[in-house]
Amino acid sequence: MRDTLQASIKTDHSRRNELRIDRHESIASYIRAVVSPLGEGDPIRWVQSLPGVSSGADGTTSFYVRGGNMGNNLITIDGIPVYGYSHLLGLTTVIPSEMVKSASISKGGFEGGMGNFTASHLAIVTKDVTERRARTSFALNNFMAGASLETPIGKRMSLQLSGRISPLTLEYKAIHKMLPDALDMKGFRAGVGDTYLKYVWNVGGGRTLKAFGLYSKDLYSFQLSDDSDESMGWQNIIGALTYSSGHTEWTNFEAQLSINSYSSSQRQVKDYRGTANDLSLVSEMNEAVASARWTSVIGRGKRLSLGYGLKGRYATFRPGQLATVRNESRTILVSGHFQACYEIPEKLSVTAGAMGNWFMKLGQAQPDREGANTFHVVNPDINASFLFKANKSIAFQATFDRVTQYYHTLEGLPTGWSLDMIVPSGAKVAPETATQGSIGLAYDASAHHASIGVFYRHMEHLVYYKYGQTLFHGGLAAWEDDVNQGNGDSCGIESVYAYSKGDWYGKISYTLSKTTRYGFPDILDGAEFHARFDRRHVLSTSIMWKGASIAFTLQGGNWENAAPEKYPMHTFGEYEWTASYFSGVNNYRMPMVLRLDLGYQYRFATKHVHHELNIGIYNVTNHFNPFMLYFDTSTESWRMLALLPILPNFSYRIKF
Amino acid sequence: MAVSLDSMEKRQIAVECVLTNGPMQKLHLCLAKGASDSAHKSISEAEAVLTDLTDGIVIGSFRHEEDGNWTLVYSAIPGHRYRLDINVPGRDPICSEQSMPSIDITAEYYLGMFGDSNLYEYRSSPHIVYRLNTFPEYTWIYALRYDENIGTRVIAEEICTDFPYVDNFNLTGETYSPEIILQDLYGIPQYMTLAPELIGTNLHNKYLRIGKQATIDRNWLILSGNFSGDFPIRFKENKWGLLDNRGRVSILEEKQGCVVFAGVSADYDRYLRESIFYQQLQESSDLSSIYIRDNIFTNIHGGIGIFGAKVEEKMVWSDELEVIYDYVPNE
Repeated sequence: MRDTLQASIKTDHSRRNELRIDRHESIASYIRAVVSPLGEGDPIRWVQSLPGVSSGADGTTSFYVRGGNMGNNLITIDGIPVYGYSHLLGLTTVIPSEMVKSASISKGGFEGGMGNFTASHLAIVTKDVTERRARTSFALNNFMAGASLETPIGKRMSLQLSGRISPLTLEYKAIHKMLPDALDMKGFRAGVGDTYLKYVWNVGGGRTLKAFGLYSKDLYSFQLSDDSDESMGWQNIIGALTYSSGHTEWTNFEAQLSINSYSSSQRQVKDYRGTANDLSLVSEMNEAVASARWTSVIGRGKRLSLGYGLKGRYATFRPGQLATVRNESRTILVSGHFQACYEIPEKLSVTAGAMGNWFMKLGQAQPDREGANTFHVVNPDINASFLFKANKSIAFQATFDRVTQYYHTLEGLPTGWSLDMIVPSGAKVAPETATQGSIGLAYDASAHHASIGVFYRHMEHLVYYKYGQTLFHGGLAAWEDDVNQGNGDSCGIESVYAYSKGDWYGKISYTLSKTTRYGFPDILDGAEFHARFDRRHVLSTSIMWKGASIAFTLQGGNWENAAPEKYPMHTFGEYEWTASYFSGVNNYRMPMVLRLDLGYQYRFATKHVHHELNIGIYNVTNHFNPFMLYFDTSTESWRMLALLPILPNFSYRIKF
Repeated sequence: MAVSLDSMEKRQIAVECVLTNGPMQKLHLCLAKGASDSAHKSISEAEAVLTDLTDGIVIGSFRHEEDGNWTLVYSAIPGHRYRLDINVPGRDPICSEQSMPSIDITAEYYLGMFGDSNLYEYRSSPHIVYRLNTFPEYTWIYALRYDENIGTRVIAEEICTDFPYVDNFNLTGETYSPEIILQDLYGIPQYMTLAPELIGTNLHNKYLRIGKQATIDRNWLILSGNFSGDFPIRFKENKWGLLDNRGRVSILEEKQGCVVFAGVSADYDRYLRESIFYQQLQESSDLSSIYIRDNIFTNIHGGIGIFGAKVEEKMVWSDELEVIYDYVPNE
């Protein structure tokens, strides 16, 4: 029996959003239908098509929400933060897509209990085993091959296992052999893989125990010129135990213990003017978290729900260079939250919450040294959301948030260095805060959905590293003395229109925004400059019909540091030399990103096997969309590299 | 794909003017070169006026010669303060102020008494001692020697001194080790130098820099370096041992060298020091140097560059060993 199951079309409600401007949700089938270089989408590809979100380098999974940095987004899998969530130079995510049940992103009106982020919360929920027999699936796409197993164990337990590995090195060698000059890089090698485990035990009486584990590794090396070797890599090791109980229909409880280890590195070995140079950066963060939260529904009609909980986090940070001693910083964050939500169905929803944070950075081993004393601070977070439905079709929403983050992703890394250097707050580096508000209208009637909103966001205590050169000469050992803290503002208009009827689905989202940085005392004397990923215009459109999809993206270029102006000067004896003048920061606008993607998803089932095939062409027009800048030491000039030219892609999955 | 990283912003106007005690003042004006430009553009249309703020008079306007080089016939007066105003059509006004330093250097020929003068005169070691009689903010010292290959005078690469408070910002990492020419009867090496006590001192790259504060305890020094050539030294007529014109060089022939003492203003000193640092970076093979985005010091309001001031004195120096043999022993 063949059944052409076009779930992405039939369940059109999966693409339709609730009448909200601050939050978007979707389910796995639609997420996978989003066009991607790998042939099937992932939660972050889906997020990048939403209003208020701009992408990082083209093709990658980095995203920026309402002017925040990449590190200001919290990505969780079943409530567990994932810091290095990308695979394959950012082409996909570390969580296998067949394990994803749904995803939601909140840009404002954050719900209580998470905390320690300031821009957005992308919550990925993994699916549980629901079938009564084991299922095995195999998947293959351009860059990844994987297998997974889902099986019940008895009547109360289940197990999910997944593993993926990338044949990228073999593919590169094959392409390089056939077309030696097709690729800008040489000697490419990749070691990419991940494993995922989820064990669920339904204890009984509404109680559940879950064990979760994720390991992912990315390691790449390549040559961009004859006298250079580049390498980069990152790794996640995550483990969690979750206990949940729904005592009654009124109260739920969840407790979780998790450990998380994230490390990333980037290295350049280049011959420069006859001398071998070895530059590297490493970032490492480990954390252990314990949390407990309750949600209760009270009152007649269950209109009032309360949520409250406690969370403790112990984290260590070790930034530095490879093969050097790195100083470790240790922090403790204890948070308690309370949230209340009053809802009149189909009419009104009011949510307000507060979180108290007590943060401590532990002193160094030698307490008598300056700056070695323990530092602690108490900050409140506030979240509020108001949703009023004028009628079935029109809703008005307003949100307000004041949030705090106790670690930073350093801005000011030198051009061409892209890893996230994560460092903690402390006595010399205050926690980042963001205060934001948004208002908007949403319209939803029959086949049409539209929303438009405006937002404003003010950020404080952003961290900028002042001396790019010293990063590579032990400067990170005392990084707190080499940073400036400053502010950022972002404002914009977010809009989206979607049409969904029958086999048709179309969406267009447009964001007009401006994001600046200022107030860094030693950076342009505090004057304003562009945020690196301040893309003025972000347009994303997609059309789907019976499995076929077209997606078009147009984004304004991001900002990089411009080259200096040069002028002749003299010293004694009329000796002439050339001086450089750097007029600003982030003052070179990169080319815009323009991309047209085509895709087709075809599903069918035979007697025992379900098939899903995605084929497509990524970047049909072969537009040069920059991925990174690098310094060519042989010509002593800067060059741009595009990661994704026109790229046919496919993914094939079977499940039985 | 190559990328220029040109910000395409309006090009900065670069100003370079260093007032001197010479007969003519020079000014160079140009537009800085952007990353996508082939060359910087000289400015030939502008109004550049120099004003003596101390006397409250306008000295005059610079006249354009060629290629952005402007001149004004005037000798700046030590101790006076000056203002430079530049108006380039279509651009905001540019201005800067500077004070002219003063310097008074004398050189003395000093005959040291080493060894046994009754027996071995050539063990005596004469010196030229330089004495700073006035103290500008900063004093820069360098040696000019004639380079036969190029056919002009160049700054000697290495110089050293016995002055204890010299700025060590430009050490070469080497020490002064002159050639040994012979040994005396006791086997003690005799060096090709007028100042054997400098042997083993640190060599500086081209310049010696001494701050005003450093001259509180001591205001004299001797110097040497790995340079040689025709360095004329004249004594007062019939006054052997006293240098003519207090050791200042009044006439320097084409192939002759000398030592230059330059008193500079604080702004110009800062510019010079940073110039040397950034020049070293430009020549460096340290890849991380490409990530430095610091701007060199400028005191030009509305532009970039330097409006500086210096007063130079050319002084005698000598490395002629024959001087030793001219010593007249005590009787």
